[in-house]
Amino acid sequence: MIDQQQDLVKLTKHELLQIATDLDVKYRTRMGKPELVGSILEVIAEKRCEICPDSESILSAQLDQDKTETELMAAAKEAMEASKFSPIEPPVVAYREPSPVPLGAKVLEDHHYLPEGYGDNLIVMMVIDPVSTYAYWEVTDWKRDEVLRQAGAEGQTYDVVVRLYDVTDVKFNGSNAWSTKEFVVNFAMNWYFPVAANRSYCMDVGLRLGDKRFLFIARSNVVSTPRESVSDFYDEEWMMIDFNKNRDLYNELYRLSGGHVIRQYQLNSSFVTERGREEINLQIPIQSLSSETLSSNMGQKVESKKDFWLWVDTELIVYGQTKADAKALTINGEKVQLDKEGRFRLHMALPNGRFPFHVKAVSSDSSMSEEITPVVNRWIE
Amino acid sequence: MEKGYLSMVLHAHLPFVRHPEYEHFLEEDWFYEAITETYIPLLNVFEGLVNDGVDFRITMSITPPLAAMFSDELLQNRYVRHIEQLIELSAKEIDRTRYLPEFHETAKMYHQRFMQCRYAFVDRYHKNLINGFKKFQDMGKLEVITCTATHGFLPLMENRREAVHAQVQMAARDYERHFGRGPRGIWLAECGFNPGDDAELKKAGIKFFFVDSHGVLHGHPRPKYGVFAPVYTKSGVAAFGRDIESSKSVWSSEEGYPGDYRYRDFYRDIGFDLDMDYIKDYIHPDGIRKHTGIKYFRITGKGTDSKVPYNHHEAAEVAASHAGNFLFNRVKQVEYLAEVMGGKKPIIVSPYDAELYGHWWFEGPIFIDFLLRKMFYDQDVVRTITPYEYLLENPTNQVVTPSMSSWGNKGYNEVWLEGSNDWIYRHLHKMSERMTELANQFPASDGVLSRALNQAARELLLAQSSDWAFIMKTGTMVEYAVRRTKSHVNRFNQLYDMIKSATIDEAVVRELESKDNIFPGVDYTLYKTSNLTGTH
Repeated sequence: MIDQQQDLVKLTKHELLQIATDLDVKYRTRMGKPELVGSILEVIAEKRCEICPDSESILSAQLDQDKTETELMAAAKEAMEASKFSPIEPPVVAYREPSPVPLGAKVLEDHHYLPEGYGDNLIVMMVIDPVSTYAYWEVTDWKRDEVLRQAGAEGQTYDVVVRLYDVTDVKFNGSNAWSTKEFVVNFAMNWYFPVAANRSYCMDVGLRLGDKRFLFIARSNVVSTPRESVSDFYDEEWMMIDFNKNRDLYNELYRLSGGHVIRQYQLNSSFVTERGREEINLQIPIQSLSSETLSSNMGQKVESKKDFWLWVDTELIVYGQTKADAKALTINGEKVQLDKEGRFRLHMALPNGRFPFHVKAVSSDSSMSEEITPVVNRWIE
Repeated sequence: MEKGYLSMVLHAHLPFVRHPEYEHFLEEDWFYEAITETYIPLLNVFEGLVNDGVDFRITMSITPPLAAMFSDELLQNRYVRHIEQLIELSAKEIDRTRYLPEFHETAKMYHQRFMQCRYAFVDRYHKNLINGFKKFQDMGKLEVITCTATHGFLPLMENRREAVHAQVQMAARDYERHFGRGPRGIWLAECGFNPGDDAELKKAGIKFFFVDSHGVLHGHPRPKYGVFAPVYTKSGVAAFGRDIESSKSVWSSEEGYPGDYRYRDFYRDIGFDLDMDYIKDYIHPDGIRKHTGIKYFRITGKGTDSKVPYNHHEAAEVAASHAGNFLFNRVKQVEYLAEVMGGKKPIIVSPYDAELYGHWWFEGPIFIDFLLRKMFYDQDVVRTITPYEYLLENPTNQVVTPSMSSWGNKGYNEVWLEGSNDWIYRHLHKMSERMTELANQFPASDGVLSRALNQAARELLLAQSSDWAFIMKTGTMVEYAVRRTKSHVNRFNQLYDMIKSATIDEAVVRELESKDNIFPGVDYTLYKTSNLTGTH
């Protein structure tokens, strides 16, 4: 039974989502990894309570009304985002066989075990955006024992903690940080940490003893978060770079392009008057305009309200055989290719209507010919 | 005389996917589809413009993995097989649709396109599309720039400077091998920049790069002209900021041109729609349905289940009118900016994923064609320019340190560092550390040791592709991305253990060399710590 935080934090987000789906965790598709772990633990705790009758009331508060709706929205968003790496399945798939494992899944022959760690004692910080960072760490058992022994604290209870220091504009010596925050992480090997924009940070991982002492194990790199707004620093400095030192490149470019061709001005664009002048947008971007958000109107179609549908189409095959050396075989006057045995096959869509197929074969010396005309009628009753 | 400039930047990239051990490999299709739908159509546009005497400038990044795939013989021949299959299928489609006039025209259009693709690929460019891009670069119309070696996302390598150094140096060397001179510019993968990375660009002789709008706008000190003029970083490399307005008109899911109801729909494809018996020879041999590229419907509109047949003549007219609208807005924008900026000519930088044009937005290449023609013939306010030409004309620029930024969702690193993919960094960083340890230990080597060291560098580089983290996040084809990451980590660690214990198995090295054969000129000594003089 997975009921420990240390088991959960080692899983990938997809594995966590799988568990969350089994447990029917609300809003799971909208959660980040830390929230997922929290919610899964909560639900497990609730399920435990379920066994004891007193907790009936806790469960009754858990009615989820809008679960499906939010999940559908999240699913639609994910479908739109993955456009570059097709194949994306079309919204309505005709007669789709139950598909085997996607091909990529089984072909790489290497063993797919990865080590959990490399026997290091370290902590590494990474910036996500102006207000969040991520860190992963590794603490070996022997190092843990060593620092406990050195502190004379063998057998004491302790928490594994990470300490987050704001070290903006200081050379950090362990005690001159602007601020220090401590997080109990115990069994996790990585976590996400909120920070402030345009500041520098580093972290220590260590042990916090029951008697409040902190035992240092490793210090991270220093990271700086980006600014979240326009700089209020106006001093302008200008630089001139003489690219013409590379005169050869400059000349090459212009000689090869024939210089700037004299343009022929024509007033033939019918589009220039289509729209009024639009306001020039100098604002700072908020939304992303990258390939990730690519979508067409089609993206939403997946969410068709209907849960049942049918479509039918008909196709027609006209086939036959003549002597292999026949000079020509035509259907309604158009030549059709014969194979080595003199067989032919024509596959076509069949809409409503009456379709005669005038098939004519001519022998190699043109002395003989045969004609057959099957007729097909197609209508919908 | 023009009042300002437009610099259109197309970022062409696909991760290195090449599986000689399998006859058919689904993920290789990403490459074949992009050739048919984006790369060849773009080359055809350039060809047409040059033939008609239309002067233009376009900047394109061709990433090292894409260049490696273009020049790989196995993939070249597999593409020929792929396009020949499509030609055969489209011929059958002409037959099949003979009594469906609303589809018949489109079927003929596809057949003709596929024939043209085959001709361009085999006869015109001799199976290597680099020849095509190089041709227009040599004419001065196209500026091909590079990208980090395997599309490695630099802001998340920050604590391993040697890895940043190697991603940039390897890219510059690989570019030189393909294009005969060093790259002038670089597209940092996902526009991901972290202050300090510019020093590495400088060392590789790179003169300019791009950042997203807020990278410049939040720069320090405050940029006087916003994103409408480049800034120099302290190391003297120019940074060009993305223009928001022109990006929005193409990228935005709501206002963007590609969502027009008359354009071709991306999802409905005969690979999914037609009877298995008919289509089975043109999908994956295991019977996995996939996109064929033959699609008969238009986007049609929201909230309707029935799609209307596509009409490519009508769609081309829509593309022309969108090009006209785009130009109209740029003219107004430049006129306004030129007034505000007083004397300094603004440059509007519009970067897009190249695969947006053609692969996603089927009519995208025609849009570019119309846009460049209209710009040339219809007005003289805005001229297309490459960033390098702009710097030649405007050598004096403000010194600003752009802020950490990317063009991913929310503008920073979240797409590549979140719950689904955070587990990879522990391994990627360790690999970088070990690679540097090896490079420091073996400043020179030869024979099988040298090959093992170089192969370790390849495995590290391949593991660093930002694509894997991206795919894990977006949730399609996740399994493949996870497997790729794990294999490169394991292959690397296997090589590391062999090297450290001096028990190198030549057969293992040889097998890995044949599978992960990117970068013939890879050089593990790029990871030496001594390469980092001057950075922290």
